Amino acid sequence: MNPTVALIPSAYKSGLVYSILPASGRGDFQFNRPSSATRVNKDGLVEEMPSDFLGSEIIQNGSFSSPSSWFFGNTGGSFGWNITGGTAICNAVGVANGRNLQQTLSTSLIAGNTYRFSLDILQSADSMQVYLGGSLQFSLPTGTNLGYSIDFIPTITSTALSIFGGTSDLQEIDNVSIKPLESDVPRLDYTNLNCPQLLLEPQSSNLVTYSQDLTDSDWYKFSNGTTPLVENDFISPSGEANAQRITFYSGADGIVTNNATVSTSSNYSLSIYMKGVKGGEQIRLDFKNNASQGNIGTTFTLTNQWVRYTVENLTPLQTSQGLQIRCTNPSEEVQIYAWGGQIENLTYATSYIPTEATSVTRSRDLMYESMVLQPEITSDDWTLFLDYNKSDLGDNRGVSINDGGSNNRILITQRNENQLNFQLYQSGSILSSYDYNIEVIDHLKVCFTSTNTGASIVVNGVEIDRLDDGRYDASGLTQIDFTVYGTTNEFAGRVNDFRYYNVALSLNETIKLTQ
Amino acid sequence: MIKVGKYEFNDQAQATSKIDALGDNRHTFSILGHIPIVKGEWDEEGNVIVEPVYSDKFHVDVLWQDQETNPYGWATYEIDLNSDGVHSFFGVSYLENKI
Repeated sequence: MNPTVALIPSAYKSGLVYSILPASGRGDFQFNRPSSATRVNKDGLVEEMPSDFLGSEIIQNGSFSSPSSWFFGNTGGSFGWNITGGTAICNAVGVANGRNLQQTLSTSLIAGNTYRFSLDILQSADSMQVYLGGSLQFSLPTGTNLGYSIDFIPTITSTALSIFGGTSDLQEIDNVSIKPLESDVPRLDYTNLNCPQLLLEPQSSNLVTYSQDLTDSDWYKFSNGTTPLVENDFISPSGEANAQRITFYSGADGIVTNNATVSTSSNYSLSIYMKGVKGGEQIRLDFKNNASQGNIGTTFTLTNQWVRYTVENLTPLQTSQGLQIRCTNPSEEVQIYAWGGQIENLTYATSYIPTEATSVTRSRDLMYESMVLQPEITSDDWTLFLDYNKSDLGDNRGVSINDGGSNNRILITQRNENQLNFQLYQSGSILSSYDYNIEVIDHLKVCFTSTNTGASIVVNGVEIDRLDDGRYDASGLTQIDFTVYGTTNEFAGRVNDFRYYNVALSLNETIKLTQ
Repeated sequence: MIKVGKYEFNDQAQATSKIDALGDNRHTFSILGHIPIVKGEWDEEGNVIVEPVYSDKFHVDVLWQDQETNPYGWATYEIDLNSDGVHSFFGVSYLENKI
């Protein structure tokens, strides 16, 4: 049975996450994240995914190595363009050519998309003007030896680029470039599986101010014997030479710690990548300040491979506490590598946020507004399937089938780490709400099937409930959102698979689907 | 288009009120609160070496989306720094994207 909508995270481009089905584009979800973020790539390395990046060059021969690709127009006045000596000059020599320096672009600039225009202004006596399809887009600054760039959104779709040099103003330019600016880049993360997971995370900040430099004085080094030695320039989980090696000496407690400003009424999580030089090293991660006041965390036994260790859901005892790496009274010298320390004001750790000198905030990932259910649902036979990891999903987050608003919707929500919830809203009121215990399992495959006689809920191959109230008629609903509704309580976690079927699958089918 | 603004409000209630007044939106608000002006420091026995000093203002950094100028009522509380200060947004330069 083919689903009406199938989202198996595999393909995306700027601002869109593609569905597998339908292939028409109606199942594609909008995506938004204005800041950078990190992911684990196919090679297992932690890498930055910028919020935007530049696409391929659109201008041909922007370095003016020859006159090719450029032409001239708009004669009149006393100056005009000519290309000579590796630059474009607008002066009296080119008066017969005209005041417009023109190119037919190899690809259209699309109205509404964003592009970065850049050039070197070697000299400019008055503002040059950039036109697209005969329509003024922006003016350039005057001056000498300026490197200039501007992000612009064309008001017209066209291949006709023109730079107006003016009637009698000396202009000289070089290295003209136009590249599409791709923004809102989703993350496919390879942390848990060989196949990628779509990473949708809430906004979070790393409060550690030097997350990759434990040699900085923001990290205090203490011991009741010999102070731990922190050295730089070892290969880190990003593949760069920016990890530290910490040497804890025998016969004393060694501590490397920092202080962050925290609230005693909030919960925090700690995380850091570590590996032992030999493997088997015992390291405790505490949530304490440099006076060792605060919360005792967890002792980990390191391997000789990089692992991200986390201590979650800690409530501070002081307003100044930090990530503390402790080696308690080793009988012999202990050496470990460490990188990527993080303190977050969340009950669980999210992906790594690098810092250098300040705390740093990553914006939330928001996936929303799929109009996949057009034409609208006309029956109460339907199936919703969601495959995700609950451990990195915040409380009260989920997906919904809705009417584009909040009055009529069907929700699958994770209330908290231990409870899954299904709700039906009609005309703004809750008609049904059921909670289910999910405390044991992290990787959840959830299937909700509705028929005119009731509904079946299957989780990881087991039917956990059968509802006989027959009230899950989804007629009139038009939209699937990875939010509870609107842009609130957005789904934030790892999506392995998501499907909507415009029919009710059989119990055997849903059991098979969720096993 | 994104812009970054740094703001000093009189107190948390005022900051919350300003944020709530914007309604549903996609901006990123980083609530810094009363930021430390002088970082506290203690010795291993817990004795104070440096007493922490906190700003009496309530600080908020905002990563604005599709907002070229300050929303109504925000400009009064904007501060202008020549560095990132104590906080930044991942991959977004404050100095290059000041609102």
